[in-house]
Amino acid sequence: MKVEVEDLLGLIARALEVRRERVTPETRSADLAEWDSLGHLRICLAVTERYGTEISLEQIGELDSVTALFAFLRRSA
Amino acid sequence: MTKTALKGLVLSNVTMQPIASFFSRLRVEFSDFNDVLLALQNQSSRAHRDEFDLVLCYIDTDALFGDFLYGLAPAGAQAEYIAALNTFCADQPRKMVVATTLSPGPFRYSNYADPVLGGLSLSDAATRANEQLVALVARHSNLVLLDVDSLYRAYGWETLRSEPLWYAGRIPYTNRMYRVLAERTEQLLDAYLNRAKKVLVLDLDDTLWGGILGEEGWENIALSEESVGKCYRDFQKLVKSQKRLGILLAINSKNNRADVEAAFARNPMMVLALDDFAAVRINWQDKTENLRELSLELDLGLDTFVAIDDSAVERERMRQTLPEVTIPDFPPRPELLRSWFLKEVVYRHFPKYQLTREDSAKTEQYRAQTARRDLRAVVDFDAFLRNLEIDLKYHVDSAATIERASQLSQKTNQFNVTTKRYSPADIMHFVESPDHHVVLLEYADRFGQEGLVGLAILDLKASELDTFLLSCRVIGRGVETQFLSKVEELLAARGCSHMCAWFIPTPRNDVAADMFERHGFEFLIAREDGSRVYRKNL
Repeated sequence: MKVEVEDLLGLIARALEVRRERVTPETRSADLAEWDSLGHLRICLAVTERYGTEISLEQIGELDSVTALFAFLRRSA
Repeated sequence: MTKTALKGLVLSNVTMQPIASFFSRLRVEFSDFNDVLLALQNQSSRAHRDEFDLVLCYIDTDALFGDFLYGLAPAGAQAEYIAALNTFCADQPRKMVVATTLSPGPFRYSNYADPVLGGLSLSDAATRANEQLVALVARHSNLVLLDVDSLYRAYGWETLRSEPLWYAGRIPYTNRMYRVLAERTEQLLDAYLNRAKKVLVLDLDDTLWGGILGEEGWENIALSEESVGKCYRDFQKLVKSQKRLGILLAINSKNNRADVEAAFARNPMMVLALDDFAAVRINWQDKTENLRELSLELDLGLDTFVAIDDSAVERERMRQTLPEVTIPDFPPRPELLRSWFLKEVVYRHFPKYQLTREDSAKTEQYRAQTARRDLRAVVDFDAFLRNLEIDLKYHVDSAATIERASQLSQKTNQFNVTTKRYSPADIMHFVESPDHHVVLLEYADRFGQEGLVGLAILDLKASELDTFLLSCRVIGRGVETQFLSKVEELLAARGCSHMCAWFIPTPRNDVAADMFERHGFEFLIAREDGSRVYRKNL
């Protein structure tokens, strides 16, 4: 499945329950209060469901920015 | 919705927070992680506060069994939990409590063998706990069980469980599990609060049986123990089961009443009887009007109705005019009827968490009821038609449509003013004759194409309408008015100053009986055989 940045940004915003504009391609977890540990797991749940790729335990800790998530999805999709 | 949203407190031994966004009506908050026993037993815990209408206990079985699953400790946590639940239900009788049943995972350290530890096997521990939960339900009317095992069987353990997220943050489930748990919880709430729907309104043709009764006759509709016919027969069995559970059945169908009576009385494969329906509307009037009348007759609000209809156009019309009625989409193929009905209709709209004997007597009660209610909004039929964006095309004397023209003349019984049957050779003759026009009507609207659905044959020499018919698929949308104008236009173009037309009554073409009166024709004479002659100046 082809991954679009827009699609990923929307998914992250929905998982964190924040307005879409607050998530940009440059956003890192540290930039958003809502992107805390639970918020991060919500993003992982949503990514797994949407793109059908399981994220390993090791990767869960590393995918802490939009850039990292996008790169991961491009590698695995 | 005027009802204020219910507020629930979630208790769990795993991370349940992701479920929050999947509730559509319920608002939830979360108790601290893994403090289930404390929350249930301690009278000053949040679970005891009045602000929460209900308490949701989502207990994950594998997490609950803990080291029992590694053969390291006997099972015991479930007994403590059930005792605490019992105490809480008794302490808080006005609070609704939802509790999941136990369902251990399918993969065990002892593989095919059922591991026994401390005198209790894994399967027995789960079974016994579930029996105790069922016993609690009998004791506490505020307790409702959510059967988790059925979720694992329906969707599969592997699609509902997540290992990485479990180790990353005690999330044992995938989003799908959170989604279905939320959905089932709200369905159970609807059942508990008596918000389930009460009336199941059914269309007949291509819904309770395959095919068009008015065209094919009661002996030829698809209803049998084989193939497509079995799809419909099984569907009828399920519909009947809902009646036994107290759901009121009603019919809303465009058909001739006599045909339907014959079908129910004479088709041996019919599971349902006309008596099974608490109220019946079989006529040619607008289906939304019928729904209003059914609501009056049964004295039940339209918001308790679920209407099943295979026609996208009828569904859209009903949805637009009567938004309070629930109208699920219809499955695209008959083999999906059974599973669709269970999943999308029964679970969603007629949830039950316990069965009562009174339920099955309901149909009889309502059949006797004659109370009336005020009519609601007025139907704006013209607006509906405009909204359909009907697009009609005409094919005049086209060689390519000969087969279809013949087929329409052979098969159309209802909206057919003369019911003359023609072979392809007959049609070919009309097409080639300079004294005749053969006009095919092609229909499309915003829901899709219906194809060639109307036929008119004009005798230009006699200024006469030999054949005029419409397939039942497009009856009731004002199509005949436009089609007739086209016919008049074609006759006028050939210099005809008037048009003669016949209506020859048959047992099935009642729906077209007033067609000419409705379109400004003058009634001239009735023959002995009942046929009527009309005339209109062009």
